[in-house]
Amino acid sequence: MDAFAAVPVAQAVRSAAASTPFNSNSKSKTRSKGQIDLLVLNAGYVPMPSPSPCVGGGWWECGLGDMHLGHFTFVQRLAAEGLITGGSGDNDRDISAPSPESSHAVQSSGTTCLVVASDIARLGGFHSSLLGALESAPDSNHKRAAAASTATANAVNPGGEGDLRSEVTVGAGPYSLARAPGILNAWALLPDHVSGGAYARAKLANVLFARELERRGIVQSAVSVSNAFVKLGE
Amino acid sequence: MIRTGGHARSILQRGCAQESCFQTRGISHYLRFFYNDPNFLFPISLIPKVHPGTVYTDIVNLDGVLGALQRAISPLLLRTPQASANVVLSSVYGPQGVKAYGDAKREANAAEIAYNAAKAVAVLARQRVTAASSPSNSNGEASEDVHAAAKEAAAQARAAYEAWQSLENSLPPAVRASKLSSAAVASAAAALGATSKANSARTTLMPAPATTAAVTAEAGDPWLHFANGRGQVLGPLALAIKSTSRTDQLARALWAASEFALRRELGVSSVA
Repeated sequence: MDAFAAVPVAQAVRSAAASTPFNSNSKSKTRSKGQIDLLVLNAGYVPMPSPSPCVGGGWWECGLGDMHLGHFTFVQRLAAEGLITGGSGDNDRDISAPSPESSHAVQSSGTTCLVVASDIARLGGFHSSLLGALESAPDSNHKRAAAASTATANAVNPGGEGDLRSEVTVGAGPYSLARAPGILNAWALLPDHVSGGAYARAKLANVLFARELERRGIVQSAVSVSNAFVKLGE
Repeated sequence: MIRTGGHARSILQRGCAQESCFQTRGISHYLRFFYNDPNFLFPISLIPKVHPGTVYTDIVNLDGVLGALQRAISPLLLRTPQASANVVLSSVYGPQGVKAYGDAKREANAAEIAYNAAKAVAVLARQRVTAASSPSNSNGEASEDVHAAAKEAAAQARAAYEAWQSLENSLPPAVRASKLSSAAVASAAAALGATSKANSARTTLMPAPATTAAVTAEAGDPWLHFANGRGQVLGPLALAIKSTSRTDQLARALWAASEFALRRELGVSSVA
């Protein structure tokens, strides 16, 4: 089953990229004409708590579903179409250490990916059962890495998806360091009924997604960014 | 600065207005809360140069996403003087994403969910590409003022980066974790025993208030800091200081779960 058969996602992007004047006079010898040089994955809305249609159901919670899984799906498709490319292809490399290619402005022919996150990611978190998802990963190193958390994960959800359907992280409930003693009540900064927990988790997912994009060599360089507050109006 | 076109700005503003973005409400509180340093600054224009996968912040430029795009375009333009750069903004905004997601969910059709999520992304991507093409001449080349603006922006970025690098190099490793912030940040790092991991801390730029460190230290677990019985919160310092294997483990787990979801619900295997 190819659920994307009727979705002209990559075609639309390729057509748009090919039509932009930025692409029409390319002198690059290494990039294909339709390749994306800079991909900005932006996701900016606040998932609302019940009775929003986001809540409940059998699929992932909407904030995570839209702001992470939507982009995950999108990137998968772009990669399949060859519209985004990595640089060295150094899969599974350690990105904790600064790499030579990242010490200068973009120089290679691969795609640079900018994932728009938020500082509120620091208030986000995942249920420990997520680590159980590693059990399905083919990489034995990943399995070993997950071994320590397996018992906890399986106790909650053997599929590693516990809480991804809003079982816990939904709404503006007491799921945040903002409720901790000595911490400014961050909810005072947010509009009423904002689902801070779900939003923060989705933004954390954006950060983690960026890390994996680069580590896997799917793009040349990937970073997450907090764009701070958006200034509305002129 | 580089003109990005009124259309992109319009989309940005409309989207945020509809979705009750934080706007400027409480921004001073926000900055004090997270940084404990109202002068904290990091130029977003250095994105290609710095460590991947970490959150960076530009509190000076409040144009947010648009500013990020402008700055990210600059090095691309400089890299290719003939202004050949395919720039795509994919975006998921509430009006499209939530509606599509909600509609599909009500229909209990998992495939439709991903279909609509991807579709919402694609529509905005197309618009954004069109918008990004605006600073060009009739021949499809970036205009001279764009080149000049990009060059100026890059020069500023380079100067800022060199200044930042100079400052960093002047600091002992244990203090580098605090970057541009105050001694309170170094104390926060020490409270978590992060001093011994200065190398990993060195790659980050996000100081955090000492009050946060106190809370997370009490939790006892340096990674899943704050357990409240309803799940676990990855504390603020986890990304800021503990930017090592455990964060990557979480990233891999999320990736695996996402693949699992696509494969199970859609019958689509990961291609990347």
